[in-house]
Amino acid sequence: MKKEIWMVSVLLLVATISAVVLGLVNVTTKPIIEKNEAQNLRKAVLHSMEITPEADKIEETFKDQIETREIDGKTVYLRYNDEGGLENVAFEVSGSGFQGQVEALISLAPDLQTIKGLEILNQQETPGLGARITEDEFLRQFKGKVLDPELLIVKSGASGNNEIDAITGATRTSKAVQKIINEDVENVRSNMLTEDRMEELTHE
Amino acid sequence: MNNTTEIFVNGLWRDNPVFRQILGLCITLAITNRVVNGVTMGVAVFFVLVASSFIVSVIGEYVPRRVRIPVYMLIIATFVTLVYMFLRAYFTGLSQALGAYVGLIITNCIILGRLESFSSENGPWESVVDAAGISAGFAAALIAMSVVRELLGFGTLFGINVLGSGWTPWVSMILAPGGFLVLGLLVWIERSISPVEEG
Repeated sequence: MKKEIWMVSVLLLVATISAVVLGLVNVTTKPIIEKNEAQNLRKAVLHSMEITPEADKIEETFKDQIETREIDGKTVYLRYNDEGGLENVAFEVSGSGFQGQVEALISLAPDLQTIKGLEILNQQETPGLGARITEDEFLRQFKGKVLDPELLIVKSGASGNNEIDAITGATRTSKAVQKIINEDVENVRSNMLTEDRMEELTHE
Repeated sequence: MNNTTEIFVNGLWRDNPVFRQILGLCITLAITNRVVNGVTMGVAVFFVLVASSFIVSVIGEYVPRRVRIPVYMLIIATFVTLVYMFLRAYFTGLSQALGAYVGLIITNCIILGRLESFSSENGPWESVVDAAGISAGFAAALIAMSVVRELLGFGTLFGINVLGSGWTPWVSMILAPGGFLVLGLLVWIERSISPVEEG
């Protein structure tokens, strides 16, 4: 009996120490991590709209150029040109990848069909295979592609203006990106950024 | 050769975790198609292994044998999580690249194997030296594999094009078959240089 009590106590002690250490470190790093994530989001929004500010001017540039709107619970980032015309609309899209949640930010022209840019915010895909969706080589393909009728990922030799080359060895992750973009953009188009609402936003 | 150097060299070469012990193959095969992945993983395992080896060598004798594995797992998982939180707070870029590896480090059998076979029976200094040697050996194996695979599979090193645009990438090198092939070849080469003594 004594042995069992000792066994349980040791396990309990180690678990408690571990929990306390992790808790303390979490308290100190959490605000920094949240700040980093907010900053990353701003950077992604700007980058998807082809604005590349200097590292120390991200927040400033973001405030200056981007209008953030909550539309029916969806955060939408808008950019107007100097004449007040709507140039870019960006929002987050997300869904299941091959191994975990994939979160991306898509930037569209005001027609909500032409892709201006795509950024991956978070993903847990296989390193070296699916995780290559974060690489420029894959992402820059999206620029200028049109969701008409919808985006299509092909194995190789993309030719149409709605076609994207899949990542070799990561067809399922590539297909997941296709599904996420098609479904989420469609959802936003029909529920949040309806034609009427876009009309309002364009003439501001 | 004194004791310290010997322990280190054993980990790095004679008991190399990948080429000799054939351990940690899940990671070795999965991530070595880019040199930068190999380096990142090597550094992360180094931190976790050295830190947990030290702790286990100190507290090892007080842990009842029947609960030692859960205790080791707790220690490893704690350090992995600490490294991850630290990276996310202070090295955002690196943590995004490393995110998917974190779970892999916890289940890396090299770490559990070292704690069980070495740190629990040796003093803190020897354990830290052993951990450093083994992780250096692991990192060296990862880097050796990823240099071959990235060079042939992408024509690049660290993402920089070295073989020129005329090079046709060997796509299979990026994928699983290339991993097995290169691993087999490197094990062969390593064992030809210093043959295994049959016991």
